[in-house]
Amino acid sequence: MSGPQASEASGRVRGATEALGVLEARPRATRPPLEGFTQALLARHVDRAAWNAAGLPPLPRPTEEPAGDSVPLPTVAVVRLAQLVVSMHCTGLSLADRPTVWARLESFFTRRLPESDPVLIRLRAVVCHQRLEAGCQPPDVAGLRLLLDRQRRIHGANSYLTGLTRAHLATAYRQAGDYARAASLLEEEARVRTDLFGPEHPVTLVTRSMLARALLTQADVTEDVQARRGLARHALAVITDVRVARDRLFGATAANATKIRRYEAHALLLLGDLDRARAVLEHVLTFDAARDGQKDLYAIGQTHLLLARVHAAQGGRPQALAHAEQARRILSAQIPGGESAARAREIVATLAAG
Amino acid sequence: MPSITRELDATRTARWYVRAHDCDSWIKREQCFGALTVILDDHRASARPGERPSQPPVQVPGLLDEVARRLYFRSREPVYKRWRSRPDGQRAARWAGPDFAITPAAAFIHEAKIVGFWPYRAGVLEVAGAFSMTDVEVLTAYLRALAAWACDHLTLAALVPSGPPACVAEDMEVFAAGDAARASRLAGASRAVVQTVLDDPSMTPLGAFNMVRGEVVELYREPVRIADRVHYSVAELSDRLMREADPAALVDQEQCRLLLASLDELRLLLTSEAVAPSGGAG
Repeated sequence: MSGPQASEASGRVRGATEALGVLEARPRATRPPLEGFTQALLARHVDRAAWNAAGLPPLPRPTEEPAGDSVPLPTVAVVRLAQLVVSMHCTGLSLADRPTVWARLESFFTRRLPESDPVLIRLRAVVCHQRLEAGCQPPDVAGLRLLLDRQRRIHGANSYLTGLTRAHLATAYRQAGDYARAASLLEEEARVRTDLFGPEHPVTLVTRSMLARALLTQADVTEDVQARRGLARHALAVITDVRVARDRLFGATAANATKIRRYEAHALLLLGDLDRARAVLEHVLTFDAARDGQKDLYAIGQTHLLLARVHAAQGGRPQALAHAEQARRILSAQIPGGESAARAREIVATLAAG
Repeated sequence: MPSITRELDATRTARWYVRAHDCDSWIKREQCFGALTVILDDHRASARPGERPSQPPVQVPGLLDEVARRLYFRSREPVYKRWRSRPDGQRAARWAGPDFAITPAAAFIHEAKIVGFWPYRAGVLEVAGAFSMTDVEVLTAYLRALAAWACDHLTLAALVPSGPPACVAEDMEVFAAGDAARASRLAGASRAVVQTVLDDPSMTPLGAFNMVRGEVVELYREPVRIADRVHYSVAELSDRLMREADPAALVDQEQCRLLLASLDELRLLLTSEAVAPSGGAG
């Protein structure tokens, strides 16, 4: 394939990948043809046999031999498309099973790209994020620091990608129990993103949402009542801003708007406003069910866990037990060894004992 | 195929592209665009360690002369004649049309950007046609693809006049369905997407689109108010429950429990002083 032809094929794949990425947000029930289309597109541009042998989502044999565009495309086009194939495949898996597939993808491209290729480094950051999402223990703080250093050298300290990795590092700190450090790093990152992209850019909102989560986690383990309430109030102020912006940008029933409502309920629980916390959580469950619920079962489990805590605090033991059982069932299936699953089992045991 | 896709397939630029691409001399044009890519490689901004390598606007003095030199032409004439306002009858007309005020260099730059972006646009339209994407989905994908083009062709996007290819404004008019004010806002959004990438080349297409998400959402917001939507849905469900021989087929026990809880809560909220000060909503 000549230069212009390669460039044209690459552009087509890039455009199609972005369009397929938009469609990824559609309900899962409508997705099988989409996944098939995406896999068939990738099958034309990677070594299909090597891909399938690597244990990645199996690619079909191309139905028609493409006229001349089967030679390698620029890395960025293929890697982005491959990420999309894996991302679509992973929505059907439990959170705990996803990092394995992402690690296979990383390994597949590590064998084919130079170590210093920025596309490979970006892929590594994505894989790290998937491990964090799955709550893999122990969090790879050292690996993320190394990645952050490389991103900083390639893209600059305050670039978009460097900022994403910095936020992932903060998540790793939180998962490692270093809550204050996580919150401080996220406060700083939120300031930087607000300056660069504005207060309502979704990436700024993600950081502020992560900050709220770090504050809530810290509040949960803080024994001093005043300190706990202070952290919860701080979190609630951040959450309210994020919720309003997300409702406007994505709609109140979108997944990320629902997530911030769950954090809101958590803050209200810590502040003792139990009726409002319960009402917010009931809405969260309704929105998750309406969206089809399958994409983020783990989030639904978290909602049940919080509802169990709220009902228990209100003295509604049967309701608390019912929600705790649901939480235990869902969270144990998603991440059996995770902290949330352990917490759900603990609450079930306490409530059952009476 | 959604109607927006059909309309995008029939714009002035789309028709020009098909005609020009089928022309025998197209390959010569492609060679010139290829030479431009090589020339622009030297203009990629370099950053000091630790700084964001923003890409400033690129200006290449004597651009067409330079293209001719890169292609080892003896004179610049073979390049110039392709982008003059009046090409000879054998060649495809230039995209910029016969306007004398548009110089050959400016016409060349317009076409280079359009031709570079066209496959990205085609990739979006292919998927849009295959999956009946809604207008807002196609627009979102289009702007993300535009950002991907800018990421992949940073110096071309920065080539003065820095910004999106000229065909993008025309496409935004299609998305705006004849509303000039809306088209102008969408064109502004497309420029912002490209500028975001030029400011921070590490930006992802989704990140760049997110810079204008609010604008897009506002332009495509459904005019129906949420209370009206709920009212219609409740009325429709009631109507169907009344007529359905087996109502349980419409609503199972769990849905029934959830709906009752939501309606109880809604009743409390609607009859509260804040919503209905006279208490008359209930």
